[in-house]
Order: sequence, then structure tokens, then C-alpha cells
Amino acid sequence: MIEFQNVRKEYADVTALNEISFTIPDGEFVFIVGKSGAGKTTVTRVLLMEEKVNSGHIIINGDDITAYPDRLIPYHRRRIGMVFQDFRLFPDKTAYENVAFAMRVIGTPAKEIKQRVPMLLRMMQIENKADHFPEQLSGGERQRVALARAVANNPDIIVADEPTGNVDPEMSLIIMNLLKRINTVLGKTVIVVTHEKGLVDTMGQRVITISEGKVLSDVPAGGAEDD
Amino acid sequence: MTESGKKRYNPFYFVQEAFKGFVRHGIMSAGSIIVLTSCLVLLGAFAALIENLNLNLGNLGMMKEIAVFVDYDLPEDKVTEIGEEIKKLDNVSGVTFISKKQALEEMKETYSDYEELFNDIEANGDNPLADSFIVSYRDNDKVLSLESALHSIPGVLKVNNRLDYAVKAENFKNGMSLVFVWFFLLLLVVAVFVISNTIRLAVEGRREEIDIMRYIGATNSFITAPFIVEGSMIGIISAVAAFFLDAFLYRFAISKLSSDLKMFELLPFSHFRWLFLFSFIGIGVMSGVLTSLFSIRKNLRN
Ligand SMILES: Nc1ncnc2c1ncn2[C@@H]1O[C@H](COP(=O)(O)OP(=O)(O)O)[C@@H](O)[C@H]1O
Ligand SMILES: [Mg+2]
Repeated sequence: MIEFQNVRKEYADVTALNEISFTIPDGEFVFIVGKSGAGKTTVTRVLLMEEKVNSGHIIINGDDITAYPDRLIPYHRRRIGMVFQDFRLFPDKTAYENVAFAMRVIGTPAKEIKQRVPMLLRMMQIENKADHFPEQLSGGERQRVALARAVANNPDIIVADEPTGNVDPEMSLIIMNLLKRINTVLGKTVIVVTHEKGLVDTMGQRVITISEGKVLSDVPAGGAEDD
Repeated sequence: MTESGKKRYNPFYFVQEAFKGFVRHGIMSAGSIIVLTSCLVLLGAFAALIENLNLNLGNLGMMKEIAVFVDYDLPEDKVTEIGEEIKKLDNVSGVTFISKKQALEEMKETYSDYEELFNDIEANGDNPLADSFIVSYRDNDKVLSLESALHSIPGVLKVNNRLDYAVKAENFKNGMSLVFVWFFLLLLVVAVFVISNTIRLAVEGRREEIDIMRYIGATNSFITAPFIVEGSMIGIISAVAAFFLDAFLYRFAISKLSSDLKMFELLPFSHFRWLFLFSFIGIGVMSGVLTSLFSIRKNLRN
């Protein structure tokens, strides 16, 4: 379970998160939406411990991560598979190597890597491009490699910040469906930040709307507003 | 949450990444190696010089001898008389007479290359050297009073205490040491500067990669290891290069000097071999690794 409790995050003269609170149970699929500058990316950044909060707590599986020392950051990040709008693939590694390297970083034995990477690429329907470099792939293909990499180390949580921002519209739906599959088939908690209202409506999942660093509305899967 | 993981890192990965960085900034890497090598070569040359000086100074000091030259045209019985008087002095353990004829023969032997010159001298019948006594003594502390006693004997022309040479050489050695130490430190500072810039370039060239690595949970040590390996590679290569350069230079210097400086004893290179190899590698790797660590810490934020 992920719990934001009155989290405040201030940059120089901007309050990006203003005492925000919400809870995401294990295995849930949730959209975070809101206008540009609302604070969506900041939510992912404090969750990844890229930024320290000014006050409040973020509880993951009962642990307050705001109390973690810096030394634990890498280990904390291994429980979260991150997907970005700009993909952030290693440019001089192939699709296969990008996924394999993520496993190597945490010391996975070579044998296990060899078994798992093809399976992950197949799951994201990108196995036929395994030996292509990122610049040889379309936006949608890159994002599927990024998805394979995000789940490679079997994290509990997947966080995607605008995953369809650099992807063709028809491919966007495929990416969303893959994220949903990661949620249902692999049982991961999936948090998707997006501003694509059409896609959000199609998926029919829980939607947290953020405005000015606060939760504006929180609509559960199926429709009716929760309060 | 714990820090546990299936930590079975492949060390070959770090070496491979280090090698990539090393090649990518080939000119900087070569520059680092050249400066660090010069630094170590100088250190070796300095150590060799000091060791050889110490050996020969030791030899000088251990002799405990004073050379006493008498006036040029003294008759033989007067010279013998001086010899007897020297024997009676305090602190004297032995007196050896060396006639000017013997001295000339000895010189001829030492400077065999200049045989003609000595032949001319002999042909003319005038020996420019003086008769002398080599006076051995027991106690270095009382050498000054012995010297003045020798001076006061009538007919004595010159008193050469070898301890004077030893003192002069000692001063020379200390002066040299100072110059060398400063020069060595200067080169070391330059080496550190060049290496840290090489590593900075390597870090900058991989900044994007490093940012991504952080997102996928790479630890700091995993991220920095290739740069540390790169620094130690620079150190090891420099150490080995400096070792072979010093071996070559030293042998070359000995072959030149040993014919000119017969009175000096010169150590063979084998005397320095292991000392040089291990201290060069030690200093090379230390400066490579420490500089890399420092440079990474400065150029990588969390
Ligand atoms: N590093 C930063 N320094 C200063 N202000 C920032 C920084 N990052 C974000 N902000 C500000 O914080 C607010 C929230 O930003 P962000 O979370 O990126 O919004 P969103 O992702 O919803 O568009 C914005 O006003 C933004 O300008
Ligand atoms: Mg954003």
C-alpha cells in the first residue's frame, strides 16, 4: 500500500505539493491527472526519493520512506519500475541489453537474465526488435522496451509519467493496455500520470485529479465520485 | 526494506566500461599516463641517486683516513722523520707512506686512457706529485685536533681529511633532495590535475547513462566502480612504463659512469628492482584511484 499523508513539497518559490493525501492499495491501477504544473510529476519524484519532502509522510508497505537515509535510495528504487515520457533508454544498448542491464545493475546472475529478458520482451510484444538500438525504434516500440525494463526486476509498483506523451495515438492505447496487463497479469500496483482524457475515460479505472498540489477529486473505477 | 540483493556483480563489466572510457578520451588518458610516468621516473632516478650517494658516503666515512702531503723537495730522511712524528700523535692507528713515484703509478692506472700524458711527464723526469702519508685514525670525533696537530708538523704541505668530502657530499645530497622533492610534488600535482580532468570527462560523457542507472536502482559503488578501475588502469600503466624507463635509464647511466668514475661504487639495477616495481605500482594506483574518487565525488551528485 502507498500512502501520501499531508505531503508538502516546495521549490524555491512554488508550492508543488500542498499537504496532499491519498492512498493506493496494493494491486490497484490508478490514473493521476491534472493540468500542467498541477504537481503530478512531483508526486512521482518524491515517491522515487528524487526529491525530499518538506513535511508529511509517504508510507510504503508500512515503511515511512521520508525517514530513509540516502544510502537506501537505490534499494528503494528497485521496488518501483519507472516509465518516462522520454523513455530514458540507454542509447548505446540494444532493446535486449537495455532490459538485461537493469537486471545486471542489481546483481542478477547471467543465467537468470538470459532466461528472463526474452520472456519480458515477448510480453511487451517487442521481441522481434530485441537487437535494435533505441534510435532504430519508433516511440511506441521504445516505450514497450521501457515497460519490459520497468518490470524486469519484479518491482511491486510501476510508475509511468506521461508514458504516451511521445507515442502515436493508436500506439498509446496499446501502451495503456500493456500497463493494464502488468497490473492484472503480474499483479503490480500501477500508477499512470497522464493528461490524455480520452484514454483515461476508455480505461475506466480509478482517477485522482490533482490541482495546485492538492487532490481535487478521486473517482474510483467504475465512475461515481468518492468522498 | 533491506539492502539485500543478489549481489553477484561481474567484475569484467567494470573493466570493460573502464576500458571504453579510457579509449573514448584517449588523448586525456595518454596525457595522464605521460605525466604520472614522468613523476614516477623522476622519483626512481632520485631514489637511485640518493642510494648510490649514501653508499659512497658510507665508504668515505668508514675509511677514517687522512691524506698528509709533504713539501715537494724534502730529502728522504726528513720525510721519514715526519712519518715517525705522525705515528706518535694521539688517535693515530696507522701510517702508510706513498712516494710520489707510487702515486704517479696509481694515477696512471686509474686514468689509463691518458697514458700518453703520463709518459710525457715521466720522460721529462719531473713528477708533479708530492710524497704523502695515509694516516688512519680511530675516532672521528677527535679528527679536528688530529688535523691541526698534523698541520703543525714542519714540512707538511697539505692535510686532506676525507670527512670533509663526506660533509660536502652530504650537503650536496641535501640540496639535491630539496630540489627533487619540490619537482616531484609539482609533477604529482600536475598528474592529479590531469587525471581528475580525464575522469571528469569520462563522467560527463556518461552523465545521461548514470542518471538512468540511478532510476533503475544502481548503487553509488556500482556507478563509480568503472571510473575507479579507469583511474587504477592509468596508475598501473604509468607504473609499469616508469619501471621499464628507469631500468633502461639506470643501466644506461651506469654504463656511461662506471668507466669515468672509477672511485665510486655503483649499485646494480637489481638492487632497486622490487622496490621500484612495488612502490611505483603503489603510488600509481593510489594516485589514480584517489584522484578518481575525488573527481567523481565532485562531478556526480546524488
Ligand atoms: N525543479 C524545480 N524547481 C522549481 N520549480 C519546480 C521544479 N519542478 C517543478 N517545479 C514547479 O512545481 C510545480 C509542479 O510541477 P510538476 O510536478 O512538474 O507539474 P506537472 O507534472 O503536473 O505538470 C510547477 O509549478 C513547476 O513549475
Ligand atoms: Mg509532469
